[in-house]
Amino acid sequence: MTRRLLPIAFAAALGLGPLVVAQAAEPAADPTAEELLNRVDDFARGDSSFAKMRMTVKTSRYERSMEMEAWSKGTERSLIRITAPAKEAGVSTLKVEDNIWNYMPKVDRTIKVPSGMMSGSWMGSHISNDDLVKENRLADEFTYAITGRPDGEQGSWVVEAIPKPDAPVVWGKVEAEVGFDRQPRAVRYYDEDGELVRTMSFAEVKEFDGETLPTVMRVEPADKPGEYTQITYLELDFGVAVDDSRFTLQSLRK
Amino acid sequence: MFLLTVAWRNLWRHRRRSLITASAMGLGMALCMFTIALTDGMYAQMFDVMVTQNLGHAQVHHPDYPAKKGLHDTVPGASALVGRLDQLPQVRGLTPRLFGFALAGGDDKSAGVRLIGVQPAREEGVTHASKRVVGGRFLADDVAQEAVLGDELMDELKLDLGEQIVVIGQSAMGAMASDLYTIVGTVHTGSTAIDRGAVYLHQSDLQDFLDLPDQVHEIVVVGEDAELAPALAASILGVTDPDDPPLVRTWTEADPQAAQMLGMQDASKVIMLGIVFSVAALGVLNTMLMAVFERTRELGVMRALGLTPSQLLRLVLVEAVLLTTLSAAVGLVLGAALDWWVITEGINFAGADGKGMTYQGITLDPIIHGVFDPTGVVLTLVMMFGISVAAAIWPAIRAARLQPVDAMRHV
Repeated sequence: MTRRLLPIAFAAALGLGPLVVAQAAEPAADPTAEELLNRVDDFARGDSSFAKMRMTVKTSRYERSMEMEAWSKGTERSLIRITAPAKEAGVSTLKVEDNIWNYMPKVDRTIKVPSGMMSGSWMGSHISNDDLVKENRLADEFTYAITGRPDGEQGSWVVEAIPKPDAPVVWGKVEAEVGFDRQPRAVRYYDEDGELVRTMSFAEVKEFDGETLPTVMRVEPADKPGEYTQITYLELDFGVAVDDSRFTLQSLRK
Repeated sequence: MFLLTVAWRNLWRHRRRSLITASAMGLGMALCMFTIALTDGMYAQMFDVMVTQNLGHAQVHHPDYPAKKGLHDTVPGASALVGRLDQLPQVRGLTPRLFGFALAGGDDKSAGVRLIGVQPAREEGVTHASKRVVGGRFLADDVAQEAVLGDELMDELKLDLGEQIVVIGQSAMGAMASDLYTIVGTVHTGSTAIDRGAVYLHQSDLQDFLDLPDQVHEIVVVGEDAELAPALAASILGVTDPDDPPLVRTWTEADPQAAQMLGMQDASKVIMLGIVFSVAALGVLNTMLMAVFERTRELGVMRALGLTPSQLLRLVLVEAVLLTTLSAAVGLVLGAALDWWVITEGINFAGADGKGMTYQGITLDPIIHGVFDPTGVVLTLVMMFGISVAAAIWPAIRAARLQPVDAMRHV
């Protein structure tokens, strides 16, 4: 079983594939490209998870935090429910394949996010709706090369991933940095002109349910210095039984 | 006095012609008075919709608000500023407003709407919001969770009074915001943007919805007179915080287009009057010319009897003035009647849909009521006298130049 990094929707959504690839590599030898891609595809398949997390959004105008629970099954399906603060408690997001629905308990309404709003922010964070649904099918859509290796215990592996010409990916390049300890440190996303668009960084390596992984993930947009969205995992359970009925519109309203 | 008597007799010796001319000119004048009252009424209504209801005389905003209309661009230090504005003697009333965009709907239908958060008592004091209520009532002063919709929006969403409207949007903190409000009334304002797309909420409800406690996007201030707006704006700026000053603008600065449109009132009045008066002037010219040509023999006899050319010239002019006075009397009576009718009854301009004319986003009431303006009547009178005397000058000069012998031989 592949080790899992962030076994909820965000993982696949935010394009963590490259990380897992590097992380999964054997310490002794450089992995081959084919091995990497197979690992990634394994990572994306069929496992279910449950997580409790806190999301903090800091912008130039405000900083707010909310707590949420998330269930996921593979990369295709996930359900996220806000538990705090009280004002937003119960607001839920269901993701099935490329679709996102939001549920507002106060008015008992479910709204499908229209395609024109997919690039909009999810819950006011620096994560867009698109980020939630876009799965990077790495084997099909990226070519990789290891461009940096750890230099002693301080350095990192750097994996540069470039989308194939016809890949439906908005990035020009994705760069993943993995520490000597095989824990991910950062993923940098570049646009087609090679400009840094955003940085995702990782911290607080802990053990959860038998897995050792970073428990804090922070997304920082390059064009808004000082702003970030940070997700902290409070609880993580892997391989829990999550029924398919969890990911339905009926379930969303509960 | 002699001339006056002769002129008066002359007029009545040609009774039919004089009466026809007097009626024509009087009718022209009455139409002028009527047109002025009607256009004044239309512009008064447009002014009411654009300025009194919406722009006020002066407005206070965040400096970035006019360009960006950002949710965060709220008036700095609004609560304290409102307190200080209340103390200003020039301020007759003010109403702070908060705006937001959201999706609103009932069970089946939804639409993008503009949320307008108002303090009902203040809004009433400035714009008399309750006058535009066409169903139910306006927001109560202190009851929360109420909504008032534009009448066309209400129809579109297929909602009824007493039902709840679902409002879903995003707060200034980026959170998904949603709430239910009980619809207590509908308004028809004449502004298409509001009638088709506005939901009025209590300001505190909207502040809560948008996560903008104690904040507003706009403070509309009304003073004694729209003409005094620049002075009002200056005194408002005087009580703002110089370290973090908001943007203070007069209504003409805030909406130059509206100001320009309302400014066209005078131009259109001049054009209208010009048309009516040129018709009247041609009538007077015709009458006077005929009066001179027809009476060539008669005028020749008068010259032979000893009337000097200048006396004859004055005689013809006095006739014109008398005729105009007669016309003015007819016109005033007729015009007053027309004015009374258009002011009290109004004219129904409703199209097939029963709605009034729409112009630049302003839907006028289907029934337009006139407005009486005494200066309009005085202007009409002055112009009529001026024009008829001017029109009589040429025939009068002609009469003065008559040679008695030739004139008397004239058939």
